[in-house]
Amino acid sequence: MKAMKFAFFKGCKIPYYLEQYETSTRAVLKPFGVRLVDLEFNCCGYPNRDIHFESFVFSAARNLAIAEKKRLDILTPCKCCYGTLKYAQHFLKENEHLRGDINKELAREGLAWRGKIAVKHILTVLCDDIGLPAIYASIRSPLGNLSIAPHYGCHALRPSDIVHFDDPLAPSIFEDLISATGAKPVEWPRRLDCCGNPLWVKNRGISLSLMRAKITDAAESGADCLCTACTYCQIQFDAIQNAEMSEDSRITPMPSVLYTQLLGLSMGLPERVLGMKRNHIQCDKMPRA
Amino acid sequence: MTTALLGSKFLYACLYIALFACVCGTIFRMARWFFITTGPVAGAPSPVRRGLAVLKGAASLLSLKIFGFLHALLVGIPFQTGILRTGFSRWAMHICIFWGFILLLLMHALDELVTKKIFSDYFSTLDPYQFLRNLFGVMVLAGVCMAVYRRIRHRGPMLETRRADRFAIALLSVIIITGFAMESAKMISESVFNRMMNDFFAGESAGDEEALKAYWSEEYGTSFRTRHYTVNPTLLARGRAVNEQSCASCHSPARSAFVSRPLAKLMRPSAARLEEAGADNILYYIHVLACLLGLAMLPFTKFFHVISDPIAILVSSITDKKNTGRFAALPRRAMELDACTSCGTCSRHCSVEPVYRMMGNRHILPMEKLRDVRALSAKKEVPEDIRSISEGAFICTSCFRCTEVCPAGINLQDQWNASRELLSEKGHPSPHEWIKDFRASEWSDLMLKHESSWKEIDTIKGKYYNLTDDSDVFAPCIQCQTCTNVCPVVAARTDPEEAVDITPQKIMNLLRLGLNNLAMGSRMVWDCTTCYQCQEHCPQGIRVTEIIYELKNRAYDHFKNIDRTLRQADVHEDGEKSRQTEERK
Amino acid sequence: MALPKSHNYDPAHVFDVMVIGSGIAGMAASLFAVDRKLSTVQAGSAGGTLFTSGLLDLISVYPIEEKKMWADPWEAIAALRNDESLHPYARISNDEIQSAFDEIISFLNSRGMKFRCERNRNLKIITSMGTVKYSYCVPESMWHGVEALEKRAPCCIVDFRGLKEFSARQIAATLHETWPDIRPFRVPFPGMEQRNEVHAAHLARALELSETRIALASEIKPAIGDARYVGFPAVLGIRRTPVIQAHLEKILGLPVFEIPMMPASVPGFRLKEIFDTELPLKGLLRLIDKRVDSVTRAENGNFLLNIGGEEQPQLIKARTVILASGRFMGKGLLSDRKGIYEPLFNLPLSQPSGRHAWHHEQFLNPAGHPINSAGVEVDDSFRPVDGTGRVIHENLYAAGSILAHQDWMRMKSGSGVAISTAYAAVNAIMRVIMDRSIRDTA
Repeated sequence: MKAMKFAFFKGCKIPYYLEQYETSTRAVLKPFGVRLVDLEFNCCGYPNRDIHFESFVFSAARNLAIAEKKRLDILTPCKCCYGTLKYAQHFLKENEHLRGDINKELAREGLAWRGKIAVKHILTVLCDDIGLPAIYASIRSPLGNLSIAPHYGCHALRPSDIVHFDDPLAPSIFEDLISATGAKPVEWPRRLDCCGNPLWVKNRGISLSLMRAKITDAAESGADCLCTACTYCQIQFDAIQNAEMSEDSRITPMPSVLYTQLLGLSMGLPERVLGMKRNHIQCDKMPRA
Repeated sequence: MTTALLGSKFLYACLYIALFACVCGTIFRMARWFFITTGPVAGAPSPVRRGLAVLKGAASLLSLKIFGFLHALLVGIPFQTGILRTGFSRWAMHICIFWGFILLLLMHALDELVTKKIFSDYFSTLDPYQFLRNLFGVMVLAGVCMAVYRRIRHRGPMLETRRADRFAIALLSVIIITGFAMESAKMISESVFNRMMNDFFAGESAGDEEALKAYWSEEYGTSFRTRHYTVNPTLLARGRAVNEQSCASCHSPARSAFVSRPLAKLMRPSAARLEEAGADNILYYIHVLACLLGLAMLPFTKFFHVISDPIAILVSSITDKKNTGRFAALPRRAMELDACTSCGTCSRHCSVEPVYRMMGNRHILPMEKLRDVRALSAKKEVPEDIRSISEGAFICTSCFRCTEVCPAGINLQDQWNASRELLSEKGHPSPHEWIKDFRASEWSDLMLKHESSWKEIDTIKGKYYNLTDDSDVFAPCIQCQTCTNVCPVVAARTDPEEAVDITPQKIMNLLRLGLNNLAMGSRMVWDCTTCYQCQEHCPQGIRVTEIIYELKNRAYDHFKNIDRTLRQADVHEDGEKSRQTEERK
Repeated sequence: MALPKSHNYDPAHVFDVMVIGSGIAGMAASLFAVDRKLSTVQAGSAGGTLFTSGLLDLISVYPIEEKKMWADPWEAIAALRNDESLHPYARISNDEIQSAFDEIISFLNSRGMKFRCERNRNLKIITSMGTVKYSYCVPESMWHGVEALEKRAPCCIVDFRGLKEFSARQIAATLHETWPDIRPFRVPFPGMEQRNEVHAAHLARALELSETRIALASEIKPAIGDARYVGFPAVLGIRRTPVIQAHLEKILGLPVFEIPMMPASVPGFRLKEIFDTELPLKGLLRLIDKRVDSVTRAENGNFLLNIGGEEQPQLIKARTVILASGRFMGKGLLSDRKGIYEPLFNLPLSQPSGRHAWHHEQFLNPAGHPINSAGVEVDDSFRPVDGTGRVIHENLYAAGSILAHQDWMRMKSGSGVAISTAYAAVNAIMRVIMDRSIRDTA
């Protein structure tokens, strides 16, 4: 297999809130010969898009330019970072004024956005660049007997004409990848809905209500566990669910794992890199690493 | 100890005063750590509780944490690994000043107390001490030069030079330069030579004195006003022999004073005048007084960081960055305010630094944020630029990178979390909160009144986005309600009634009617979860989510200069009234 | 430009069929094509099938002027064929129409949206306005409504506070004379009690959770009394409607049914979900929200369709095209001062002679307006022809409401025309392919 090299864009939250995402991502990619290069990136720009468009685009453009300088495509495990970088690329391509002004500011530190590199999400890299056959071949202990509800995450999927991730109405990449691990992907009505995290600090009531509907739906659809591939979604379903819903007697906690953890488990990777124990809500049916 | 230590009762008295000031000042500043409240004021624990929490924290040293602590103590602080991580040149600069000064202090300033006790052969004008004194002095001076260079080369918001920095650099320079100059002045001084001759020299044969003077004049650069000899190799050879016999036991060759000797050569032409003015004495006074000034002012200048930084580093070595104790965090944060040297490392590595560059609000940068924290904790009254401070405070991704890179081990992230709570408490919360201060219609009215404050920005922004003013964008809307029907927020909203009446499809309608202002402050716009369902499902291909984003952006610009306290006063008044009526009942 | 994963295709690939349009006709054409193992690509806006009520009409009104209602659709079609030889139904046999319905219904049934029809008669069903209309084929979720109406059984109609487009009281008032034992009952929707306004799709999604159904049932139970049926607005879930209906019937102990609502309605969402998610699994390449910007024709007759816009042209190659882009709402037809035109192929249209002739003088003229029958004229293979009857392109077909000489809205024949003409067009394509392959093998 051709050696693959990406600039690893981990985003702001992973180092202190979701370390296991980084370690498990590195661990599952390593056997496939994927090299992740660490560059000093800044915030992807997403949090500031609400109030100030240019600073969102500039933050993203700076990251893109840093990777472009090293001639590396970006790989990110976070769907919000993924979406944001893609949106910014779109706006930069579309708007000449914006591009000019952003490049002027970038030039002050010897950077430039030319739009020469690609932004990829971990799932795309696994499914398309590495390929499902190679994933199937890497499985050591298939996770039979486990029903997993894939949570797609909004910013990777929509708007499809900008992010180009999968079919926005009938995506299948996540189910394909879950099937590879031997687990059974669950069909559930709310699989494409928002996890609620974007409103976590802005309107807690709505945020929790969105999450609650998803959890209930997944449970009714027979899922043992949710599966995410996004930093924010995982924080919402794991840490926040644990902190906020443990007192709600109507809800049985619904565990959530990261896809890289799930894949790592089926590849027989050790707990040390998968960090299953760092997840706040444990899934009893999940085999031990 | 005697007055001999400083050679003057006056200086000796000064030393005691300076020491007293330093000790009292330090105690004062450290005590403040238990009284200053950063973060929310409501429910802040008493100083006693804070003290107990600190003791409890210290007790945690009796665990495996001790290894981290020892590592910080024996490696982190002496080798300044925290600074090394931020860059070699900065580390080189700081290590030169730090170790140069510490060693000068121990070996030279405290020679009577330290060096003599350890090395019985200590004599200040003998090698290696003479050489080392020059070396350490050069280290400090080189460090200071690097510091000045850096501050000029990298000046800007990431590295600002303020009065405290200038004072520190100036004082260090004065101390070291006067030290060298004094040594040089002594070397060239005839009277000093003569005094020494009188005290220690018993010439054995005539001409010895001339020979010695010739030799000293050559070797040390001593300047003799009257010369009764002619310098020739024979005389010098004799002089060297005499020197060897009578002086060398206390005076190493001049070449080891590798700064003072060349300096002496430079000063030699004006030796006579210097001699007349008693330069060596004056320089000595300046040197010592500068040192004592530094000592006395230590607790109130940048030099205080030599105490607070090691404490901050040690504390950070034994505490969890994410889960700070509720009580212990307070004194820690107060202590950290004293530990910041405004080195700018945090700002350079800040995740949202690019946002600062586009928005131009300095309060976004962590270094400035910490200054804001200090200002907010010190004063009761609200600073004038509180809205800018609040804007900056809430532009932060909580990535902990500033905490990670801070060479002083300050838990900056915890500072931000606390200051955001405080700002919310003071009525300056995040935009998503203060937007609720008024209803959509009230915002709309207010914004028209303040049109001048945003008209210009609006025009500038027009070249970046203009969906909400371009009817081609939203005119195709057929009001089919698909956007509203797929919107998870509309489905989940629980606020009562009129607050949630505006739905995505109604926003499109408002735009068509030209009522953009009414849409801007609506709950729908600010509660949007940006899931793009509406945009993806719109049968007419309208970019609904992006329109909502743009409305938010515009609203932010339009609203941010409007005085929001207006409403708070109203609400407060209302609350007051209703309470009074209740009481009357 | 990269396309979404499902949109990854080999740009050199020549599709057998490209379907333009995503309404019922476009979806049906795509389904028929992929069922026949044709490599198929479809482009169109995201919400084409949203604007359906969920009822699949065949025909119930003819002639329009008389507003004559037909209990037997086939009789209506026979009468129509007799008078109007240019109507699309005049070009398709009854067997073909029935097969077209069978194929689409069996597909929808297998994907969890069950339909019912009684081959030789239209079903009577009440609408959200309280009127009674005929339809050929109704969702299973509405079946008990047909029963209840037939028997005039005691019935409780539930509506929800804040659901603006549905009023049980109005239904009861309208039906009162023919169906006296009908009782309206308004409840707050569980979990949305505080709202002034609720939306059908949100209620539907909320009912997908069993806790909502249980809460709702306990609200309704006290009002049931001697009612034998419970009717709801069409909000019983976007997915899993059979499960939701069965569950409600179990806890209420009564048969329940849905009453169709005005588009865009929840059954429209159901159809959209099924088409959007299931057709790609059958091998359809669905280009969502992609409009075809321009078409050219290669020397060998294949169509080259540009879907990338001017800046980054992206071409799709197709041997045949089915134009199912609808009339004005679907932007299949546009109008300017000179008249109406078909923007993509610039097909000649059957249309009133001038703008003044578009409408009758009375807006509410029962006969409808000439403009309502304007559109593309076709031959018996559903290939567009010009005024002289000459085929424009031998490999271009048209289906659905874009066709001329039919006023589906007033005849209540929208789905029927869409489904059966799509079926006829795909079959015509199949015949050409079969002929060619027979020729090739010979």
